[in-house]
Amino acid sequence: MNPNPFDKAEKVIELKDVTFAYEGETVMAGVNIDIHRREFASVVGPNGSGKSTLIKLILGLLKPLSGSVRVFGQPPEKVRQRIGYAPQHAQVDPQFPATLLDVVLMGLLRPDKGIFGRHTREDREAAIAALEMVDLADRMAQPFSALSGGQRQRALIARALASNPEILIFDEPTANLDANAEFKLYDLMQELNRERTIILVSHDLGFVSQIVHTVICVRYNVQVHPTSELTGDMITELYGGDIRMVRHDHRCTEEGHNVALHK
Amino acid sequence: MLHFISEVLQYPFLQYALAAGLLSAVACGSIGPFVAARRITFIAGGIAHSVLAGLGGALYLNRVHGWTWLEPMHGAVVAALGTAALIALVSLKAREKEDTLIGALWAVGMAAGVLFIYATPGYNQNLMSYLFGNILMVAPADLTRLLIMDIVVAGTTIALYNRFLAICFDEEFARSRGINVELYYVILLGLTALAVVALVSVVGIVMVIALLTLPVATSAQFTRVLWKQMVLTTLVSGCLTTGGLWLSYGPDLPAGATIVMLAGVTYLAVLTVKKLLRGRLLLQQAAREGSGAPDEDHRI
Repeated sequence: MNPNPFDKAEKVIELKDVTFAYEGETVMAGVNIDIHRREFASVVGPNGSGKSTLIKLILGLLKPLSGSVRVFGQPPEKVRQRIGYAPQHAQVDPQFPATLLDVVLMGLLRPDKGIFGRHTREDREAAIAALEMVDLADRMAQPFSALSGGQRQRALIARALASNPEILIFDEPTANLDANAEFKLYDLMQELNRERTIILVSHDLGFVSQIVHTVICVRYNVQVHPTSELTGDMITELYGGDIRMVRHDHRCTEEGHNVALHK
Repeated sequence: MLHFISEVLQYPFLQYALAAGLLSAVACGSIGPFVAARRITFIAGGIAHSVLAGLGGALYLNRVHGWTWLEPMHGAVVAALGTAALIALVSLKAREKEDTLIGALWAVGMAAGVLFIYATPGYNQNLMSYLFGNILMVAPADLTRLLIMDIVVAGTTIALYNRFLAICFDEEFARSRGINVELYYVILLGLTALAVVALVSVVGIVMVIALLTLPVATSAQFTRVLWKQMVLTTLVSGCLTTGGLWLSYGPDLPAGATIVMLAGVTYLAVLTVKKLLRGRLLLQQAAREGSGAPDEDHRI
């Protein structure tokens, strides 16, 4: 295995021998993952392979059957305020009656804030700052339903950013987006990665491989590869059979096409 | 109109009816937008119909077993809250069984109510008024009860607004922030149950759903922000109950049905006018730009 540049960095997420079962059926077994500070890790795998399960384990929304999940050396539910989570925009109701600012303020709710969960002036300022990062601050008073798909996705990212977390987890943020919106989103993620650890669930291996450091392949067991190791064979093995891969960075040589996957 | 006003000034029963309509509008406006946003209208329907079991059961115990302190409305509150708790429990533990349970509570609640009322001796006009409402029979004691329900429902939704908004919008995210989603969901359904009971006294079990959905749908045409929908829905519902009462009074029509009909017509009218206005706007815009398609896409 190639040396991972993050091997010496601080581990922020650590899964040890994690096994998880859903309704008696083992979904994943013997999973070991280390993710380091400021690493950009992409989680890939076919539908139903357990990508979401893995994320929910890290978020502390699911408990492993055996093994341990540690975030910043603690159980995930203890460090929730340091993790930001952005689901797919298709997962929320686009017609939901709330303004953009309302949605982002949800990212600042916390259980220890009294039973009412009133927002303070600092909350509003933090929410606006998060909206500025995703370039939507000028639209904060608009209803969520007035936004386009790409904007809604960025709104959910702003919601995750509002509490200024050190780890960001994105679940297929580019699903159902047009190419332009997708491109902008990858730019944003790369920008965010300068100071934050990022975990990105994605089906778009080819594109992602240019900005991520580590690829976590999920299919019952989990394998972690540095991006430079990723080969077409591995992808075929992972997804089984033919898959189409978009080559965003390929070169034509005399030998034919050569998929280039660089860090 | 003037005749109606002078009658209102003259007869307390009309004043009570008007007050009941306005008080139920507050319950409707406080919880209706959340019911619509969370898309739990079917649950509200199930709760409404199960209320008959409570009404019938309390009536039976009151008349047959001499539990004179127990009034039908007490039974209604118990049945509604019980149903809400049961649905909340099942929908949190086993979502796939939720629909079946709601359907079962809906029908079995009705059946139990009918049986209780059948077994209660004496002349029984109650069934009809439970099913279709009888706002003209509202007594001062009912108004006090409505007021208490309003205070509980409106007070809680205002106090917990941010939490409710978050769990209705994205349950999983709220959970990832450490919010006790289950607790707030149970409270939300409990408040829905109270609002349903409040509305039953105005339009009856069968038409509760109309008052819980149509005024919200009407206000949603004007605002896409939930707290504004709460205010607007309260106003719209107040106008609808008052207007329905007035329209039904002269020709002696059933008030509940008239209110619901008015709610439906209002919604359709608002929808139609909005569609027409938008169509005209687009046409003007197209004409101004000299092209067929309006250009509104600078957004990604």
